Amino acid sequence: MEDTSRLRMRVLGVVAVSLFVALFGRLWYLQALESERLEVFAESNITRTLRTQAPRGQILDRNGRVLVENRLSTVVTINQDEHVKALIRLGFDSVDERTEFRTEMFADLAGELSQSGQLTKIADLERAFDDQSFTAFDDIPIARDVDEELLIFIGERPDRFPGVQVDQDVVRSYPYGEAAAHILGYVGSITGGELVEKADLYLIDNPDTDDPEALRIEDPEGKQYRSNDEIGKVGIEAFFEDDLRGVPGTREILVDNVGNLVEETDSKDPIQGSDVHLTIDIDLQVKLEFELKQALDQARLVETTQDEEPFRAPAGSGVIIDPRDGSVLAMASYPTFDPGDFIDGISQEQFDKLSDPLEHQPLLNRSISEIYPAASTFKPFTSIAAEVYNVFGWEHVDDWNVPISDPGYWDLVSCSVDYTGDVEGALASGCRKRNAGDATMEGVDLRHALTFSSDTYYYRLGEAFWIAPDAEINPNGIQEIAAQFGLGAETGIQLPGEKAGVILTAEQFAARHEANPEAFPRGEWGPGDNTDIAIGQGSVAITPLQLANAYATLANGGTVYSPNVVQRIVPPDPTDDPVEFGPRVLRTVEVPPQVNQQILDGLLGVTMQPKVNVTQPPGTAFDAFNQPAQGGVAFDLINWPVAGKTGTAEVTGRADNSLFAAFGPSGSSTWGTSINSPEYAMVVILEESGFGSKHAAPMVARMFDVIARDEVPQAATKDAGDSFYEQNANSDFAAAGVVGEALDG
Amino acid sequence: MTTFRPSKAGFNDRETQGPLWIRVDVSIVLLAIGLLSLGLIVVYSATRGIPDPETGAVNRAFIERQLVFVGAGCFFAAGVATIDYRKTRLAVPFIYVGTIALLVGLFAFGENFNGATSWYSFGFVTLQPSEFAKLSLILALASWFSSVQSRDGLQLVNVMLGLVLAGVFAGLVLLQPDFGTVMVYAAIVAGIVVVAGVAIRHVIAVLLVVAVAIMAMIQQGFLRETQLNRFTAFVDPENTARYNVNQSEIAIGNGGLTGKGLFQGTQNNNSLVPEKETDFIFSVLGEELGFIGGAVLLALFGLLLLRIWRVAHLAEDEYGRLICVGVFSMFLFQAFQSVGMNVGMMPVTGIPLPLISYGGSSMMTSLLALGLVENVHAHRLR
Repeated sequence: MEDTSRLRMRVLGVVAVSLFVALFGRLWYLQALESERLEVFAESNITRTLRTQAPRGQILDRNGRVLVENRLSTVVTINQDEHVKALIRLGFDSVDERTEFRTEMFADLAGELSQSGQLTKIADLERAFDDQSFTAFDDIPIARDVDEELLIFIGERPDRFPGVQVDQDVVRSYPYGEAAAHILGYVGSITGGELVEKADLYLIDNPDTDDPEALRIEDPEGKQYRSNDEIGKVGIEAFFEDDLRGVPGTREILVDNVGNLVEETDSKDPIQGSDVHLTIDIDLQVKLEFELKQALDQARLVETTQDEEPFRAPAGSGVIIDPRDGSVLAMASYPTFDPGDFIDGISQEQFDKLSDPLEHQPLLNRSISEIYPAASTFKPFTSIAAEVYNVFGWEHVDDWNVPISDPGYWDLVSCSVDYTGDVEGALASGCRKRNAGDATMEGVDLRHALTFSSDTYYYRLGEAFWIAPDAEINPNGIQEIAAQFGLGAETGIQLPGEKAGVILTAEQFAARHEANPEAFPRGEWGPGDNTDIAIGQGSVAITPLQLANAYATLANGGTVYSPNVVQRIVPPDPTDDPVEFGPRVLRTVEVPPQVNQQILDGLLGVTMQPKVNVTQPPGTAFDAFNQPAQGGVAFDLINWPVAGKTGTAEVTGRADNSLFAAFGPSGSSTWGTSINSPEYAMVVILEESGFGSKHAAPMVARMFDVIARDEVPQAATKDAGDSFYEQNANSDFAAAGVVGEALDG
Repeated sequence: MTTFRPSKAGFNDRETQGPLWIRVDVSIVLLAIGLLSLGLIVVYSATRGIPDPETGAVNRAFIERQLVFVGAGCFFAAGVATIDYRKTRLAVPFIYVGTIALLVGLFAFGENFNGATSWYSFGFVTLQPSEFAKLSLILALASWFSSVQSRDGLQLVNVMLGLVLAGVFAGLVLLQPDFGTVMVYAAIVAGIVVVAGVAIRHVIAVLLVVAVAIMAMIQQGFLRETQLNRFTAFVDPENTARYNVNQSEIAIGNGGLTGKGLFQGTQNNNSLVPEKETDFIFSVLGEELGFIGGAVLLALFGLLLLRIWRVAHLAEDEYGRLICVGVFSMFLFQAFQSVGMNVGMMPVTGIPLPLISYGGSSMMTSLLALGLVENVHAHRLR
């Protein structure tokens, strides 16, 4: 062989050796240096985790009756992946062909669904199919609870509806229909914002590094939220979301390269969420909601005169609390809604209607989320303030046991001008404060001032707080006592969306003006502001629940509870201990005993004809508790005495709100009864319904009547077809003697 | 290197005398057996499928056919090795023309798989003429360059004529289209041209011509988009064709040093690497037998190439030497390209791993090529 040939052979050899060295190097890199990283990829290549939703916990009433449960629901779904695969099997090879088929199929399907009674648009189906929050492998729900015939029809035609399946899943079910809707709330698909918010719960700072990016997710229970998960939106469903939500089940599966299941490697069954037991008594709740609607319906029928605002009676609220432990027994808000409408999502149109102020916001829980003037129901707290801060007996103010004469008005002593004889001038200057209807009364002491609702008596007290120097009388005394009773502050009930309300002091009034002079043009607090507060008007804005809770405190002798709507949380595992809430005492208010007795006697007089002085008129709620002919009930006040206070709140440009706050059974030896063990405190506020004595008080009387006679009708569960009110009107309520006719104005 | 350099005095009688089975290079036979065994195991793993959960039955169809191919390949290789390559040299033009006929015939009678018309189908078996054309090309080029070398030297015109011989095959195969096989032809040409002693300036001129030709083909649309994609996937990680390589790399990385164990590769068992029994067979080996398995395979190939290289040295005439160089270049390029593609070093082109990948034509061609080398070894000094 020639030398050049040998050299060229060597060139070939060198090329071969270099190529092999390169291969070895790369192989070493992949299999020794990068192996750990690539193994992770290999693992994730073949494993998938499928999740099955866990049923949420149930919500029960205080007697263990189920208010919210889960039911199996038939659902028609479409699966993108299966749909496309089925179409390819059927010979639709191009995307265009498949799109064309799908358009026709949706038209077909929408037609069939609509015919079966589920109005469905083609656009709805297309939107569902293209919903980016689902993956190609998810079963996307497109119709629910369709009739059986259609289910069979769809199920038997896989060639006509490829990828469309009929399945069952679990949805919320409300055996009592609309009852307690505001308390229970509703559930819906988690939104993007909620997803981000909830994701934060599972983000734990990595302790090993200062890098803020290095967050890790800790979710040992596997409860972390994913798109399309159900989440409580309002009410108990939202407040106890973390308890009610179960632990989703998981199935770890191995898949091949086209995603077919090869093997199931691990599976965990879903765990149902904890049950929430309410303090609500569903019978009382249903009765209260029914009476609330009745009272408003009746108020609406009342004709008003030309120069009065009409009684539109669009909305109202009612709350019943057990004063012994702060349990909320019933809490109603009108208008209301059906949580069942939210199953599978609600249309924007419908949701907007439920939130529209012109429709009176049916979604709003007025009992905790609306603020009202307390009106005369506030007077007991003014009375206590007057005693605590020594207003009684101060200068021109007589002591609480001294009867005074009420001419029907109070001329402010702080007004320098003497308006005697000049009624017009006095009223125009704001120096004369009048009773409602200019009623005149004789022999008015504290007790009678409450019984007959003398505003004049309280104007006098209210003004004294303004006149008196700090050294003698605390100028914010009324506000401070009201605050001790929990008025104008959140009660801490276990529900979202609670409003605090407010009872302004002079300083807050000025600060408010300074912060926003346009909205609040007046910044200087005057004697009129104090007299307004004294009768629960003006700067007094409280929720019905606060008022009920304050009356519960009056009833129990001074203990302020944070009201409970939930008794306990019961975990699904019987070996786990339930979480008991128990009474939550916030504080105790020291009420001077003599004045306390006077207040109780005064409030008791409201529902009766005081026997002390027969020349005086009966209490403001006498008709409601004694005169069936006047729209009241023949109440057994001897065995179940009721202490209460009517309220008629002035609202600018509208008819008055009708209020009544009461508790019982609560008597006093003054009135010849020794029964004094209040078990119920109740507040009713009817918007734009006139005098408290005319509509709110009779409603409370009807409620207490069935309670006192132990004849609260058993709430009916909802049957298909019946509306909630029809249901309950047609059953036990007729027997319970509901007053149907209109009341006289 | 010196150990392999033959010295006249040191001729081993056993290697040059006696019957054929005594005169063959036993190392080549043993190395081939090693590679074939490794290949059969890996092909079985790649093709057995998921065992039936009840009966444990697996798919034996592939491995049984592969065994037939190996058997037939060995038989024909022995036949090829028997008759002195010099005596059959006159037949080379006929083999060359016959090959052209087979390649042309594809356009009339060929079967189209995966977008390429590269196969004749005879019911139970298919034949890929472009594979056998490698041998035809080796013989033709070896014959041409060795004859012009001795007759009137390697003038440019002769070099160009030799390239035309290869160009005819290449053109026909590109029309199928099968770019990968053409690259093997190019490697064969390169090896033979280098060892035949073509002047550097000629090599440069030839390279220019080839470059222009490739540009023209791209321009004229002879290369399909998918083939260009595969080629550019090598440098463009976003390319969809990159998927195959990614999965292959994951498989090989998953194997680690010692491998997941035979039949235990998840990438293999879940068919995550496409074409895993043919072009991506190395990924299966890498995943299940690990770096150790891959290193053994590369070592076996390295030693086999070394032995072929040695036979080229030993060859007494230029014709025999160039045959061995052609076979050497073919094996070297195919092994490097195939393994290189599997580990993500080389572009994706459908080239089987010689003696390993599933496929009759490829197996037969590889074994026949070794038969040619053994022929050169056995018939030297005669």
